[in-house]
Amino acid sequence: MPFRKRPRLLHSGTAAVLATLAAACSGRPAGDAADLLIVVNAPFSKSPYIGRTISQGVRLAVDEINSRGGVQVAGRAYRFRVQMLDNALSPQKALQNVRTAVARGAVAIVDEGTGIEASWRVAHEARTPIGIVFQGGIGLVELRSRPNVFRIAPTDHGIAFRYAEYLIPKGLKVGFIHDDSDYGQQGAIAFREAFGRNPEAVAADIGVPADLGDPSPQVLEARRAGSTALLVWGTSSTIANVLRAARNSGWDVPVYTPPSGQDPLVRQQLSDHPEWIDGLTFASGRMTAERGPQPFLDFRAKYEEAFGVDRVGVETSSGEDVIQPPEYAMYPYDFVNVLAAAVRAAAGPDPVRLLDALNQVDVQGANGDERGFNEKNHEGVVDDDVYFALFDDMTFRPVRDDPLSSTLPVIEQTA
Amino acid sequence: MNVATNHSARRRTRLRVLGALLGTLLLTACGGGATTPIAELTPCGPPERGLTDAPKLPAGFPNPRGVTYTEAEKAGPSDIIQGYFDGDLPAGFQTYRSAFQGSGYDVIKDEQEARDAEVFFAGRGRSGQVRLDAECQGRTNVTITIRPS
Repeated sequence: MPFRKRPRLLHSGTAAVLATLAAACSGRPAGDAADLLIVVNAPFSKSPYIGRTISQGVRLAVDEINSRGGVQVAGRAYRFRVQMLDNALSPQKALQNVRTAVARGAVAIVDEGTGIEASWRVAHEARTPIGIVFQGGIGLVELRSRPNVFRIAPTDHGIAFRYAEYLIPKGLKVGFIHDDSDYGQQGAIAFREAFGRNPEAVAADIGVPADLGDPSPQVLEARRAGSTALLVWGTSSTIANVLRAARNSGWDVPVYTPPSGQDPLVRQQLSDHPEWIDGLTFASGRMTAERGPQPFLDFRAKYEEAFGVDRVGVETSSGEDVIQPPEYAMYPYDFVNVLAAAVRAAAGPDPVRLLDALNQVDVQGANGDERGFNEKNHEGVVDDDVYFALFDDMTFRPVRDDPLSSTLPVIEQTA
Repeated sequence: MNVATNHSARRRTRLRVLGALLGTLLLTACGGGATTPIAELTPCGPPERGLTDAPKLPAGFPNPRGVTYTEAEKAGPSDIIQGYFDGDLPAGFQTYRSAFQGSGYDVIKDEQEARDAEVFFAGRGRSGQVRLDAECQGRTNVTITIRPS
């Protein structure tokens, strides 16, 4: 039986009323206040842009909720507090952070995604929900076997299949280069699933170490294999290094990437050759929703008022400072708001009730889209919301030769 | 009514027209889903002819009455099928939501707005969306994307 919105909402409302009544009868004093800890597990030291974006998205949502007096349930106010833990892109460190979060009684963990293969189990034993807000790996979210894992971020499945739908009809021979980071390895799995049915479209499938400074031999291998396009799936450094190696060798091949291609680091590392960035195309989740750009622009205004603009550190050819729209801050912001709605529906932070409630609630997301999960789906971003954007003069705009992307507005990126 | 009143009425009318034009231009420029109320849909012209050979849908995939398929193509590993539904957007949305029941495909998310709607599905080793766009009065365009999951 398919998921149906109305009964779910009714169920959610009924559950909330019953839970509220139960809490009201529990003898807790009215007006009581409690702090709920949210731990952010992200690569603050190794990928500062990603870490900062995630933490600021969380902080913005938490500050808004707390400034309204917290989550009010039966005369009791639950306020959130946030603790940042650096996973340094290390699965072991990420696991240790989740252990710390559980030991400190975190109500939820907002996670970049590294190390989930091991850490989800530790969190599950404590019934602690994990919200992944960056990595899109196919196996990370498993509805039945990992009921405490949720995600609001574009999935690798969506990115890889949207690329297959976009690139294969162009007749391109794709040279796939991925690094050995968690992100790159997950990307390789998704790529092989998406392109495996069309082997004629794949010229090469090459791995590189994430800390390799110069991947010129691998780029040459892709070129000799007859690649007419490169799809580079890895950290921002890997993407910058591959692009530099290709252009240094005089190879003007079109280069495509997952969302990490828009990381400011790519443009910073190639700022000595800004023309090499022109034409770089990345896939990501659409920033603006069907109803238009205004909700995202409102979110952006709040975000930039709170934290200032995210300066990329490069300029356009006319000397304007380039700034990064807070796309990946939307996802942690939305997860915290879904979490708050679930605390309200569960009438408090009881772990079992809270996990159940996370399957029941929806909120309006930062870009105006509905965000939430249900018993059939723990993914907050659908595959069909993946779009493609192309760099030109250090800023990007949606491509015009893809049906979804061609409908999307250009978001301002200069100060 | 004197000349001055006539003149100011014309000016107000011009301003209103200008305002409406600017509003329309802004909506068009913003793109990305700027919506037009259903009431503004125009009457439909003759429908496009359907495919002679119906597209091969995966086992159990909804094939509701009132849908005519006009185009089917492979986009890499995925199938993209286009057509139209004889009915308005809310009817098309409900038709597909109902048709997925018991089909072996779960509706994992759905959304309906003024001019478009989506039903996202997963099951039987596939996932994707049915997208519905109000085209004209009483006709709704259908675009189905089916991917291996």
